[in-house]
Amino acid sequence: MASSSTSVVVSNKEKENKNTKKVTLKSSDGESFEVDESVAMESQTIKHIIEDGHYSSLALSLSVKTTMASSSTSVVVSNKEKENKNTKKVTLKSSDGESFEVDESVAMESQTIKHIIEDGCANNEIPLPNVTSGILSRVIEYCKKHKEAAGESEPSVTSYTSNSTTNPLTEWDTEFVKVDQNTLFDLILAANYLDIKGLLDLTCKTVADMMKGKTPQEIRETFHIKNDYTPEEEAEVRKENQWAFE
Amino acid sequence: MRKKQKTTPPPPPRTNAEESDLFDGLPDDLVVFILCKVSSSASSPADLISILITCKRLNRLGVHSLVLSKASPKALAIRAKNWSDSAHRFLKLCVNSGNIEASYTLGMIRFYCLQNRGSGASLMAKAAIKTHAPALYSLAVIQFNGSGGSKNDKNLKAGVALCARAAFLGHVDALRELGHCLQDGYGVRQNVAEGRRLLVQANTRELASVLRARSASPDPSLNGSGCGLLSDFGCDVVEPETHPVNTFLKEWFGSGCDGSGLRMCSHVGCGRPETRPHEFRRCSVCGAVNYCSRGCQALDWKLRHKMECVPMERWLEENNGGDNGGVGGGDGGQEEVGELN
Repeated sequence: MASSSTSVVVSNKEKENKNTKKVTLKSSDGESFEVDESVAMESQTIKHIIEDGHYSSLALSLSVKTTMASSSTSVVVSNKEKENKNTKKVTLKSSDGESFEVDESVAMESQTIKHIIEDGCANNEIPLPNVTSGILSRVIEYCKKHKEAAGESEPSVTSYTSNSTTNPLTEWDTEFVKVDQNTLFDLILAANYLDIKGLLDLTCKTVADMMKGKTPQEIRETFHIKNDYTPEEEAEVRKENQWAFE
Repeated sequence: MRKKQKTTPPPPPRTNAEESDLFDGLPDDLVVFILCKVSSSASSPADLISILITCKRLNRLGVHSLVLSKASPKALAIRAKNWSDSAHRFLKLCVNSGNIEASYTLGMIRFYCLQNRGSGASLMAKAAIKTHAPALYSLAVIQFNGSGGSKNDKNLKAGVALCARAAFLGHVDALRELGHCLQDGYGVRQNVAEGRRLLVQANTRELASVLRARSASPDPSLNGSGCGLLSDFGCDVVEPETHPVNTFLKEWFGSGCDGSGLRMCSHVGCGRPETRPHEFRRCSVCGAVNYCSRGCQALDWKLRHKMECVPMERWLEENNGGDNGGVGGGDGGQEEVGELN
């Protein structure tokens, strides 16, 4: 069992085939401790060392010696995902009580959730009182899509025509923000609360594009902005800014 | 007179026309974030200014310094005919927020149009310090010509230094100017080979930016509007896009001949006027056109003047000034050969 599984490990083309690996930690007085890599990754420091790849060759040679400990790792070996960790899940609870179970890596697209998890407060569910279930499901969809795309593009194919129009994600993003305005603004607030930079940029850019090229009245109508100027004030403001118009 | 109501009236029913302001739900910093995106991608001043007119809150947030500091050059592209105190105030607000495009734009306008040399130059210097290539180049032109002062205020070495910095940043006009200075030994030790190299580099960059613009926006009009002359590489070179402030200068000075007999640079993309008589160099073949710099002269030759330049024997023979704005050598005898590049 051990040799066949390790041959699977060795022939696995994925760059980071972590879970069948063990790592050896050496203390200051020379004693070595061999532990599962996933266990060692509980330490952020060790996790970063491993992720930076300084450890990779050593880890690979170590993996030849390891024995298959548990059956869970065989499930993981067949897992096609790039980062072959134990797929930890977290549960996010929206303001109206609905729970969403997502992969931890997907949830970590949100810096807010990432900090909650890293601080160790995420044992049960993570409550998100500012986000309704409809919006939360969309946000999760966004995070999933972008996490997948980030995972796929890691074998860094340098495209010389890195024009954004040829990026398949851009098309998906454009479709993603074709929603009614209330949803769009709720997405902005959610992206801000959850601290997801990509989503915030995307949604704000969409709103910005909607504001350009319109007369003031059209902008008011589009966003239901109440004109709180008196007629005299408005005339003054228009006069002050007359220089900008043809 | 209405009877006073004893009970508070129910709130007016929310009709479709009375949906709440979407921006009400957003905190100020998010609105500012959105407005920054508007100002940085605006294609004309109206894009941003229309927002200021919509309501008081957007008016207040629209002139937040973050928003103004990100205003794109096109957002500051004021038309000369619309110039007013309020436009001036707006530009000043942008300058104060740290927008270097605004510093450059206001600097050029103050220097050339409003004739306020000191303030204009210092605003351009503010932009130049932040490595704004057009500002560095404009200051170089001022140094080469001694603009705003007398003939003796020319500082060729300073001009070359400024030009070199702009050229280092890839500014095409500055590359050209520096190339010519090196070829002629003007303000710098003569090095013809190096000069030639820079001129070729300028053409390369220009071609690259044209090609990039074509691929980014497949505009049919762009493809067909080659100037009909061959560049160094044997293909059509579209006239480079001018900075909005050059368009402003061009519009401001109109046809170019105001009463004081000061001429404008004959290159259409430039718009700079003379600040004293006979400041600019003229084409020594025909004497009919003037240029603020070698760079403008070279470009105009390529784009236009080559086809219409006709030697005027009369001009070469006569020694005294004619009726039309003076003949004779340009400032300090800086005669330029008509054929360049």
